[in-house]
Amino acid sequence: MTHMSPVWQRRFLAPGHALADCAIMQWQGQGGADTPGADARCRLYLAVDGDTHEARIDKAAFAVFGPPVAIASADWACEWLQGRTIEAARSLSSRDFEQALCLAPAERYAALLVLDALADALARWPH
Amino acid sequence: MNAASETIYLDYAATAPLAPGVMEVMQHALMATDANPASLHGPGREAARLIDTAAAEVAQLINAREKDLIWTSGATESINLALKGVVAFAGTDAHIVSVVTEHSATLDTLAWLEKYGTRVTRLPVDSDGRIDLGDLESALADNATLVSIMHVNNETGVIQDIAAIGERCAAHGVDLHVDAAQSLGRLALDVERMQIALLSLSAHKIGGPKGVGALYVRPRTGLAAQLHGGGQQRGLRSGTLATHQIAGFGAAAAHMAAIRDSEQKRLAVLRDHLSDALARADRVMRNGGPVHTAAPFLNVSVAGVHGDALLKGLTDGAPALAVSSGAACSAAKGQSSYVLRAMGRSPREAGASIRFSLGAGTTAAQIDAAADRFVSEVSRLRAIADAA
Repeated sequence: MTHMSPVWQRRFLAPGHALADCAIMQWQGQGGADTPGADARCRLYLAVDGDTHEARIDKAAFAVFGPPVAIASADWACEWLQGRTIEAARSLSSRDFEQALCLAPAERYAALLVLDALADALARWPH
Repeated sequence: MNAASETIYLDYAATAPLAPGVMEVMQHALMATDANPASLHGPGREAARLIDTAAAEVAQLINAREKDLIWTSGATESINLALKGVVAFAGTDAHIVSVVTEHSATLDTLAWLEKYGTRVTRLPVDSDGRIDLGDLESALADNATLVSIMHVNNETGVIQDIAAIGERCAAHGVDLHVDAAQSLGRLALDVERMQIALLSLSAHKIGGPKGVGALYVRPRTGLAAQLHGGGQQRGLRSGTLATHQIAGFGAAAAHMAAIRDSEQKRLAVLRDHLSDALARADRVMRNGGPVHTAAPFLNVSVAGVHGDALLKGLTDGAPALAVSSGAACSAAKGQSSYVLRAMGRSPREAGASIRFSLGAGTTAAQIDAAADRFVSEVSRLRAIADAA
């Protein structure tokens, strides 16, 4: 049985950055990833102000098919990304997720899933 | 509704709250008689009298004689005693026939026996979760020693036709062991009519205390003890009897006997209403045909949601639903419900499955609230997953 921390629970039960709840229709970047067994899929959507590496992420949103830890991780990442530069976004690491969400070792794959989706989105970002 | 936590309890297949009168009977047994029921003095005889009363109450529920019951710590121990006891008595040539969808208490015991040379045949099930009696006939003809099968499946509520199975076992001269943990108090059980040699029972599924069960043993059934010591219970299960636990089991059985038929009819109506209401979520598939499913059970697979997320969302959201999954885990990790996989469901369908099990405290208002909550949660998770 996976332990669900209070941070986790809130984000899973009431995420603030689900794509389904966003009014934005145009995203400058998006990317996806899935786990090796395709048990979980994540897609991140980025609204970016500017076209250089100093450009700032105005808004980030996610869509996830997956377990609660994946939904919570994606939601946290979107919150973290907002207001940060593209360069800063590239520095996000699994350790940041572990500390913010108190991820157990067995849950770290969720951070990697979201990071893979972010890397894909940044790689596809036209600028 | 659980007043303390505002949880809607729909997990009666896991365990049921104490039935009316059970706590009082247990308190009486604890306070009035602190003697060992095996003692020959007056207080001991008083304790033994309480056990005799419980034996009559439990035996009545299965149409057995009181003296053919062996008290155990629960259905798991009963199943272990039945399977290991028959093999120990029969010797190394034993061949046990069972079913792929059995409870782990049976499957794990059979796997253990297999390591030491017992031959085991596991029958498949069809998409409704039922065995083919032709498959059973074939296995019986292959020098079978014992058939072990559960009456009502703990995940789906699917009912096996024990009377027909018992008839075939009897025709081949093979003993039949039935795991009745989920059928006691819900379906009619008659060890004579169903030609059952061994029957495993649990108290806490019917509103008795946890930690007590029984094994019915038909006279002249070859069974070797697995617990040795003081020689209690005809030497088949040594150890001092837990008077208060057994008394509580008896009280729960008496209560069930009094309400079973009307209560099961009431639960069937509520279950069908729940099934109809859940269908509002679309792409919800019922596991186990309605005709052969015990009244309190409803197991559904849900498309477009992750099983772990659905279970957590239902159990931790508000209002919380106390429900179970055959597999609260990831479908693609090979941990999805082996019962549903055996019925032909895909890993994802088997992973995103929820078991609702109704009981004495279930009301129509709770069913409506649970259905609304389910539909809402499925909708929420599908929206989150939609563009992934």
